[in-house]
Amino acid sequence: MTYGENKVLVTAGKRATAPRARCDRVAAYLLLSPALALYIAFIGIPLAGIVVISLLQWNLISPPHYVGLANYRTLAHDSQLGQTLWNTLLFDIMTTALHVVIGLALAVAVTAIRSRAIRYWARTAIVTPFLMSAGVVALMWSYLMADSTGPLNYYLRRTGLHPPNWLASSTWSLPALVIIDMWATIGFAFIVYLVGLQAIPADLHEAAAIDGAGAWQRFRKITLPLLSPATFLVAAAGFIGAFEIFTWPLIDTNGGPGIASQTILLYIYREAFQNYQFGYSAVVSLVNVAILVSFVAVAGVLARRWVHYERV
Amino acid sequence: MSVSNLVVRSSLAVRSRGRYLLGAFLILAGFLMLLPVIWVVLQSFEVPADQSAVPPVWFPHRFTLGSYRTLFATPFLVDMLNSVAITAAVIGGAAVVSVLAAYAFARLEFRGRELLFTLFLAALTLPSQVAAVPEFVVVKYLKLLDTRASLVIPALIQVLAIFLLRQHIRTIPRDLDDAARIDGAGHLRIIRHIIVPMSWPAISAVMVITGQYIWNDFFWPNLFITTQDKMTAPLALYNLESVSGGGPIGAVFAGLSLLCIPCVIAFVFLQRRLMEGIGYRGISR
Amino acid sequence: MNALSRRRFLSASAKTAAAAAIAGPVIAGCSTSSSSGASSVTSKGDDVLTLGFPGTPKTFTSTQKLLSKFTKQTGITVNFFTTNTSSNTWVSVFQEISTRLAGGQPMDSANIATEGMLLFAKQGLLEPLDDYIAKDQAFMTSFYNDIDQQMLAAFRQLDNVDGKTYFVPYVYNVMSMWYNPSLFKAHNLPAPAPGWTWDDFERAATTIASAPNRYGYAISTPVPGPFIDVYPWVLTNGGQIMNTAQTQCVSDNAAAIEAAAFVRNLVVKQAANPPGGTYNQFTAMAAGNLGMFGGGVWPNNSIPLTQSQINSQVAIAPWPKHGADGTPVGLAAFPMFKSTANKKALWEFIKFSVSPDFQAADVGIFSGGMPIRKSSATTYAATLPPGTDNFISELPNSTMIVGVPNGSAVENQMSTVWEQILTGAVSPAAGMKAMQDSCNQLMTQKV
Repeated sequence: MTYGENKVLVTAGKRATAPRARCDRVAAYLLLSPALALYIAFIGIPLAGIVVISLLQWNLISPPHYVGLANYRTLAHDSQLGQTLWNTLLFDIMTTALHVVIGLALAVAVTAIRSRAIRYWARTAIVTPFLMSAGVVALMWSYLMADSTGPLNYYLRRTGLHPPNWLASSTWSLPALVIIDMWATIGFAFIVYLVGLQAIPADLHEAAAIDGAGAWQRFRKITLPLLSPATFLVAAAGFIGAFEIFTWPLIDTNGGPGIASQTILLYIYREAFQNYQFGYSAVVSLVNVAILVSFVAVAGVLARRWVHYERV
Repeated sequence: MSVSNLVVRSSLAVRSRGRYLLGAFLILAGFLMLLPVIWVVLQSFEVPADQSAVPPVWFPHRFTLGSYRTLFATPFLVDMLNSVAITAAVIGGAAVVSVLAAYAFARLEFRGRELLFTLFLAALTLPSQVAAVPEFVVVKYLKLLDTRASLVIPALIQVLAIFLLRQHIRTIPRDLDDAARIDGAGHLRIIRHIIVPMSWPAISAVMVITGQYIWNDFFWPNLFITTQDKMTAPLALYNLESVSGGGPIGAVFAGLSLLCIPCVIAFVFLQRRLMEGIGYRGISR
Repeated sequence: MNALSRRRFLSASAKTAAAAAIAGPVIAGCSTSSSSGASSVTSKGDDVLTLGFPGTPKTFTSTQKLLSKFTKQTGITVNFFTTNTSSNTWVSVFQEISTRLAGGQPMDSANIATEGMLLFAKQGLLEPLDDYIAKDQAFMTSFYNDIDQQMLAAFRQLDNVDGKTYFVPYVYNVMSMWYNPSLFKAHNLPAPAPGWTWDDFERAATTIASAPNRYGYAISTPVPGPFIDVYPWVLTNGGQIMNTAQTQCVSDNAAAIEAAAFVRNLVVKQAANPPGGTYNQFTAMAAGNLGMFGGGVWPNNSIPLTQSQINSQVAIAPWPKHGADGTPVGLAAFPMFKSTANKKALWEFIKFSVSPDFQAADVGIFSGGMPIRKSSATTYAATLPPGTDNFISELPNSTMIVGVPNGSAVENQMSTVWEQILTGAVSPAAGMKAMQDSCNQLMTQKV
């Protein structure tokens, strides 16, 4: 950070004046136009499309027909939705909490190490799983966690434990997916926290140390609050991402046994492409969107309270 | 030496012995994380009989390149080149789009800014799998079906990137902008000469995250691409393992190993930008 | 060659066909009329066919070579594309194809199997073939005479929508038991012979599994499938899963429950692998770590050994019996869509697929199944492991696999319940009842 220079510049700078506001608006729209155009084409229109499809009875291979709100009424009798949402929520809370805690711990640990070699090693090792294709990772874990020939259970048994059949157990299939997800995505939280730690100015810590604050106190009162944007990002992106988990249940457990590890997105996908109920699938995906949008709204409110941006 | 090291090290006051323990722990943790990857890479050199043997065979005593041969009997190399080209295009393009948008959201005052940003954020909640059908229709009408462009253009909008960059830009002191404006710089010059150089960690992070998403994505190529030689590498791998159980898993592992390499190289290269603060016009101690 | 398992093979083709079928009606929704939409997006010119087929990139080249024969004979070029995609469930193949086609990719036909046939026939998307059959009377009559008549009758019952014919099947699969003769010998077990019973089987499986790191019998992973894992056991116990007309699921019967309990018991005794994860029965067999697994013809293309090695190390026996004789059977065909542009060219291809030469030499490699012609089947069986003629002799006792309109959903339901029974999550009785209830409920759903 350029705090040193900055302190000099502050005294020399001037603040915005009224004419700038108009220029701002024009400039803003110009700068935003690529993002906006892409957004409308590839996010806005598809979202509208889902709403339209939710009013249809469609199996994709015959012409659709309009059924009004019939699909919405089916929601009331859906026996799978409750369990599916519960699975998704459980998975979500577990992975998000783990992302925040473990991601932060790893980032702090790696930043605290003096040896460059170890830092490089740790960073590469932690991020590499994140860089691997989800579909093939899922396949890999399907081999690793197989009860019969998988290395994981083989070594667990060698240590005397009685590991469950991870991917075919009603109680353990969801935790198994949590393990796979953590392995594959912790790199993201790690990177975000690393970048966040980078941005903390040294002076603050030095000033606090001079004032007699201890290490843990400094961590709690300076590092953590200044990391709140990073934590917010990890938690929010993590929560949303985990809510839409699809590859792991599809490939590793087939949502099973039964619907023990069926997540909302897998359910949406199945209603559409296995049961040929595109209309109902669209309704469930709108429910999904509604849940996530409320989450984002709540998160926004919480962010305003808890997230500290460093303003100059 | 990076400033943040100072920060954290001083804030944690890690003592010598603790630091050695921490180091050892990190070495071990890294090794455990990589164990499945190592397993996959080693498996790709084993004969099928050893691949699912119990107890697991770690070091191939019957070393073979058969899996790689099976893999290269398919146009995997071409597909890898496709992946590289598409990923590079998206990383560059999305970074540009995101930096411009993030700057606008972070620095410029205009009516509806917060609302628009929230709208953008809401896009994160869009489930890709079901948006598949309407998005497919959009791509079709833009006449982009079965083209590599169909994998690049829709991917240029990365809401997470905009979010991350906006966060970061907000931490850059406005006074630097003002100083530049005094010197007559417009928004684009400010972006180029102040914002971007000071945001390298965030931009690199964005590039890594976007890059890995595009490089590894299989869903959209699956949907849009039909011709063999326009496919991306993960899709090609995926097609290999469509045979039930009896699939050439060795070939899939071989492909996975090959796919990891460019990623890891890119990441090692980016690490310097990401972590050591190179490109900062900052103070080093 | 295509080494897809029956379950995936069938679903894959269902998807392909779904995809093909979409081109017409959905384009109608998006553009002007279905015929104009179709002609503008399907093949250009009378001498090009675009066909979807569940091959893998690995088999792509060999498949194309096979088809070059067709081109030499008729001058019609065939453009192939693979409809396979991964994820180990055919649902994703359907998704990929149908969404793609919803956008209007050209497709003249696709390899579609029993599970998907009714889906398209009942939607009015298919062109009846009766006129074409009448025009080539001599060829078709000799062809129909060359098929097992009982299977043909059962098939006609399924393919009968408004009294018209929509499918000319060219390949079929039934289930038999693949086994490792040397393992049997090593444990002093008698080799499986026609008429061997469940007790013989159980003894063999548990004996072979007594050696460490070895299983006696393999269950499909990650989830068991109706064709491979459910039907053979239920049918050889005299039970039923669907009623003959396939209007109802009737899995809640004593024989089916007993079959489920039998297989569950194998898992408990560790004679068979538990479901979940990935257990590659083909490599296990090749490595001598597996006694038996069930399959049609497709394992021949999945076992990682040369053909002569397979023929010497592996053999095929009929399914063990428990008071009844039975096996599921599934067929595949290339239907003609109303939106197919080159109908005449496609008919030539359909005839080619059932021509004696193609049947005898290439169909097995092409589709991982048995050629449907009896004359060709014997020729083909001679090139495969000993006991392949079981696939022919079992035909008279065969029961058609699930072919209802939403076959994919029903099959998935059967898989998931069977998995729950095998892992002990539900009891066999409760499971088979749940299967019946849920499958019936699915079949009432409008597709």
